[in-house]
Amino acid sequence: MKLAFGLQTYAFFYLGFLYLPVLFLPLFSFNDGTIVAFPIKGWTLEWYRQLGSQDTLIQALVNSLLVGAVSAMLSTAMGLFAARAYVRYRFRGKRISEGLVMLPLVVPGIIVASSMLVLFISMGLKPSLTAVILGHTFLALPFAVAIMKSAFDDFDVSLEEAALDLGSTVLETFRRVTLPIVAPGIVSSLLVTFTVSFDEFVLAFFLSGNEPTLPVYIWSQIRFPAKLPNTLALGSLLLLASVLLLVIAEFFRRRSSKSLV
Amino acid sequence: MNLRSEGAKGVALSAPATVYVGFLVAAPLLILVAYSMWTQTYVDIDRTPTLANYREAFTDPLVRHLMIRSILIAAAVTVVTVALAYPIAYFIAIRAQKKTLWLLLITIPFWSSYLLRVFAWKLILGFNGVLNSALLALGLIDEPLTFLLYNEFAVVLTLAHAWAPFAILPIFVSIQKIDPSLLEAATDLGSSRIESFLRVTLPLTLPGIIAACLVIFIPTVGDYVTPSLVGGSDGKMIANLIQVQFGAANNWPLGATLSLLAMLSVGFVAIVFVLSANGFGRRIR
Amino acid sequence: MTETNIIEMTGVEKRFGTFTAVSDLSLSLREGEFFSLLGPSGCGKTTALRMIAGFQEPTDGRVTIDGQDMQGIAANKRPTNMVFQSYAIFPHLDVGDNVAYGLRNRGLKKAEIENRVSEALEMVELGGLQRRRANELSGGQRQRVALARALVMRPKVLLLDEPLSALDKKLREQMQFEMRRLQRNLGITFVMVTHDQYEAMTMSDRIGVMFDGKLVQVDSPETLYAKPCNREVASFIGEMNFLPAQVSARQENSLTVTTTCFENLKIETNPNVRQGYGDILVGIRPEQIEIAAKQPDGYDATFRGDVVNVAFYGENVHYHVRVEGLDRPVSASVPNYFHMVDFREGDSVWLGVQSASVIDLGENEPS
Repeated sequence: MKLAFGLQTYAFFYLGFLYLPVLFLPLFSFNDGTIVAFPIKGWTLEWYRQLGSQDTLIQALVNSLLVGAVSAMLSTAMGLFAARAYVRYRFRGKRISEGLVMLPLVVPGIIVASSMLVLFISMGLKPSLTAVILGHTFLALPFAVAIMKSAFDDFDVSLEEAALDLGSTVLETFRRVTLPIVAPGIVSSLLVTFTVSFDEFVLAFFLSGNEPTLPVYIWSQIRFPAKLPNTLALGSLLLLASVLLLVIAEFFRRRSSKSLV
Repeated sequence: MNLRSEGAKGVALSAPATVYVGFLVAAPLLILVAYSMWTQTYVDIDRTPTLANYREAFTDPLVRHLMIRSILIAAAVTVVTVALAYPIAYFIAIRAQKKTLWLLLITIPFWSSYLLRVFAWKLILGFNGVLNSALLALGLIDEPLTFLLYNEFAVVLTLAHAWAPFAILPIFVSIQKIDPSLLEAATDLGSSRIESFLRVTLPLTLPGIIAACLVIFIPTVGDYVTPSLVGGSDGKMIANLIQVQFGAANNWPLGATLSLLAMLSVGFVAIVFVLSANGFGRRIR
Repeated sequence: MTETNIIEMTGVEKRFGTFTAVSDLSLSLREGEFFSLLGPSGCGKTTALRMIAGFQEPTDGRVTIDGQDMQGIAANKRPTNMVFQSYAIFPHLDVGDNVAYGLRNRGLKKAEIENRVSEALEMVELGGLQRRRANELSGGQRQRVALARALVMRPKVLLLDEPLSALDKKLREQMQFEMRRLQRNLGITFVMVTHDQYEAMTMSDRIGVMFDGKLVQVDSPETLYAKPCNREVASFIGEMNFLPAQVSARQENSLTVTTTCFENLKIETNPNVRQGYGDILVGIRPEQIEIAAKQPDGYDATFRGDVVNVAFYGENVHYHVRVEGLDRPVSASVPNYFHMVDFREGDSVWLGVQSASVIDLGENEPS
């Protein structure tokens, strides 16, 4: 019993360690002063108000949204098909293929970034949002595959067989039975892969050229102490957006696994 | 779908993802190898094959120093992160009432931008930062602590924070998979709590521990953001040097060489680690 | 078998919140006997076993093993060992290390451990398989490893939790004999939990039947079958035809009863049931009912009926016979040899029983 109590206490301290740093950003973004230190001088929304008038920031936001949306769709589409193959079929090279698509999770960022830069330049693709999209699709793919795999895992094959048995064609079956049932998984995958891309920095830093994404923009602002409060405000908004997206994604993921019970 | 066999359907469906990842892993690698044997001459690249870059990388003490430091820091991060995470994974798998809630709570901070989390640590650990000002205000210290930021300690702390969920999840899964009757059997055969942990739980969760170590160690060696923001000059790592070659120094061939060497060293250390960890696991009886 | 009690359970109770898993259990187990706790799933038999092993503490009552009170003594300090339902073979260890696991806890010398391990493996006929990996074992082999691992500890009592339920039928029957033989040779007390009446009957010296957390009857398999203490036990162990009966006379050791099927039949009283003054229930085993085309000779009671269903079991044929005045058809089972009896649905038949086959089940409580 003493051990259990100790573990629980430790667990709460650990949660504090995980959350406190992240919570300091929003806290100080409302601070009426330019130095990030206690005591807090006063409360203000000024830093948030100023964000709206920064054109480069708006452009970076648009870039990030674009890159995120396209990479999310590309990686989810590929993940959807691959996951279906892994769950439904046995085929030669399946294990190698499954291992390979998870590789982007563990390759050091700097190596992916530098090697893609070199590759794209050699292929005549200048650093640009297109290059970033290709890179982010690569990084997000393992997440899409993992989420779609669990969506298909919960999916009873006999439902498809029943649809075929009742006279649907293969395409109809996919559209009328498979797709609606795994739809929550797809939404969840889109949200998660979007978040991966939206938050990614190193690859975008190497590949975005003169079209910065939001994290690259933030990186450029971090050096200027005068801009610090604005950066905090922007960062807080990003935190909020990421967490919201994840919670919504989790909601959909759970719905996909509950829908068949 | 006219594909006849199951196998063909599987191959066809998984092909886009496999080819995409395969291409983006293999092609850059080949080009990196090619680049590493070329030479940068101002803005042009001399494509005569040479091993000069490797010679430079091996003889330059800075490269060796940064490489060793990167590996040591990554190893320290791995040990700290896994050691801190194991009790949490154990708690969630065995004791916690609401497992999914705990797992969600653990993963949420990880979904915020990595860059921002590192940035937050910079603000916390700084000379005039959150921690120092708080301690000063509370009267616990008279002047700001200087050992917090811009050194290896800051890098290890920040990275251990950033990689926490990656350590917790695989260990949680491996603990969760243990059949509770195995632990009862150990008790029944006379083991105390600690003995059954060391002789049953630990060896059975070894695969999870190894997975966690690899997932943390490999990317950490090549981390760029953390050493740049909180490492100062004492905490710089190999990624910073590589970035300089592709940026300010504009020496892509040397950058390519360093990337390849970093990858090889990581691979080598990882293999040695897995082999020795498994060997250790087999000796527990 | 001596008359010393190795385990004494007195007034043992186990509650989980408001749910009572085991209530007021008192039980004495003799040294060297093979004892089974039999009951449907959820009846509390596994909980009872786990309280002996020390995995669960009784909410109330006392457990003593070999005269020693087990209150507050953890599972790893008790002189019992257990064969788990899932066998709980350590997957990271080979066969030899699995069996040696407990001996290493005792800090024995290496050579002695090796000797005892190989001895234990010989005993379960797995001699020489020390270095076999756990995942290379068949179901039957896993069971043997689990047995060897527990027996090598030389426990005073071996506890077995549904030890055969994971095996297929053929293997199960073979293991029943082997475990019985092993128990006889070693003379260790075995306590087995099972929901399978045949398993319990073929292996045990005595059986304790549990329903809803209560121990209902403890007896030898023969007595349980011949003199069950109530309707529940009678229908759980084997099959039984139940007939309500009026008692017309009560003597010292017998009753005279009348049912729809027969009148004024004198039957033995059952010492295991509570004797009352009203009407009673009697039971007849299907295999003790004769079925014939003409009125059979030499039976204490005969009556007529119509065959409504025939079920062919291979070694037996079951006939369901509708008898005028009974809600349920009477079931009669006949060994299948030479097709001496061969009736079809709709045939009119005679049934015959001996008075010794009519079991007194005590007062007829509406169920």
